[in-house]
Amino acid sequence: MGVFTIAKTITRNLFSRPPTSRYPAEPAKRFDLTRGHLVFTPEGCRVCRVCMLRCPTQAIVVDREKRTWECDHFRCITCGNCVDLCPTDALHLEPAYRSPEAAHPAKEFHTIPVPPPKPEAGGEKAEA
Amino acid sequence: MSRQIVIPFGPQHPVLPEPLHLDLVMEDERVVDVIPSIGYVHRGLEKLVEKRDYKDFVFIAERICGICSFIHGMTYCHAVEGVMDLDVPPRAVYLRTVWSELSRLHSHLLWLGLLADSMGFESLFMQAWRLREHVLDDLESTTGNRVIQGACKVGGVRHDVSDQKLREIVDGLGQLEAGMQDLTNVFVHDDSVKHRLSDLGVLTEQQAWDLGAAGPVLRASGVANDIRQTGYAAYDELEFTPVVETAGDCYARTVVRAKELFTSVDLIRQAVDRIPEGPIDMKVTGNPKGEFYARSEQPRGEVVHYVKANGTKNLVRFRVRTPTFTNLPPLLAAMKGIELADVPVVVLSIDPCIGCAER
Repeated sequence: MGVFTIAKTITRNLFSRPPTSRYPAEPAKRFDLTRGHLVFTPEGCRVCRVCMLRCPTQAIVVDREKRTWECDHFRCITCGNCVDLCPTDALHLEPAYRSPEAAHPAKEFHTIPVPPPKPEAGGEKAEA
Repeated sequence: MSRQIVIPFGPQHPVLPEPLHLDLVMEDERVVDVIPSIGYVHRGLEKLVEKRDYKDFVFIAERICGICSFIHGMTYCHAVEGVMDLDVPPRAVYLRTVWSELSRLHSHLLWLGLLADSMGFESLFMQAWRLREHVLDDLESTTGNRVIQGACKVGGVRHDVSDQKLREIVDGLGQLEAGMQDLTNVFVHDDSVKHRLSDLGVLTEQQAWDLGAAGPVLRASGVANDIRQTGYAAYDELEFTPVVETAGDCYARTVVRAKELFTSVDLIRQAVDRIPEGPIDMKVTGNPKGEFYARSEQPRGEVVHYVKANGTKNLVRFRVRTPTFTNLPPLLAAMKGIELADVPVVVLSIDPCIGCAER
């Protein structure tokens, strides 16, 4: 009996696909909801700073004067709290993971443009 | 009497997923006493509650543990909701129940794999983790992450799951159940597994009760204690009976966890059948004031989250009592008299999670 069980298992193993994915050959498994990485769209930002104030890891720093937004991706845990709280949808999550970084503060820096309807310029642009 | 020597075990050891240090007082090959020490992964998460908004602290509470993270987040939410006297929408409560049971499934499958690995049964380890991957896929597709789900928030849940997706999960679990049946057959009936685990690290019912064992360790010693019976989340509307074994040895602890897999699948089925329509969260305004104890059944046993708030956005005190912490004294009792070669298996039989225990 044992021989037949083993023979069945061996035959199945020989002709079945492996349970693991063949990653480099086929793309990694991702879902729509997967919290891969955070994406910031400067055009939509109103500099309300809610993302900075409510970030559990204090990864985001927003400067109202200089109109800058920066995120340290080594601190960011991709929880999506800022995405839920952002009133203008300037932040969203993408399913793909970020590529590895070697330098320590993996900072992403953006200058937030001044919205066009405002007549006078809000502030000088900070150098990136 | 032979000479006593002390053998250090851990914090780095091939069988230990987490850093637990034990000084084994040996007489020849036999353990006569064990002195535990923890403190290698203390992160001060409880203190952090004074610096973070109580709503954002859910993400930190979840990170107490990587395996039972969802239940930590949920229990924290229960505690805050208890302080604020919030009535969470029923759909959210049911979704939390489904995710709790999926977490239990993946945690138990992980543990069964680790146990097989500790016995040197590599192929069984791979089979257990192969099945676990399906559960992780279900968790990722519904919450957004494999292990630290981040699905709970104060006043509800962050993502709704469509009824169709819930049905797909249940159908998938039907197939998974067949695989789990094959897997648990080996754990329950295989001679080599039985031989390795039976009469090892025995904890009597009285000892387990007196020393404060929790979860599967307690149930394997014959005490029918399951916090899910207190009816938190949606458990008061679902039917189940706690899995109880009486032998109190490593084999009994394995059997309890193996059988609990099927209880979890059954609970998910019932929850999906009864899940009501409606909103998944509620607007939470104001700050909590008061204190509350929330208890939940984690895969490893009872977890208690204590929350004290004074009406500001930061809590005053947050205290967690995790199952591993209470399972350490029973472990020491169970280890007395065993042989050195059996130490890894007995240590693993309580499913130690030192990350939880130290926070």
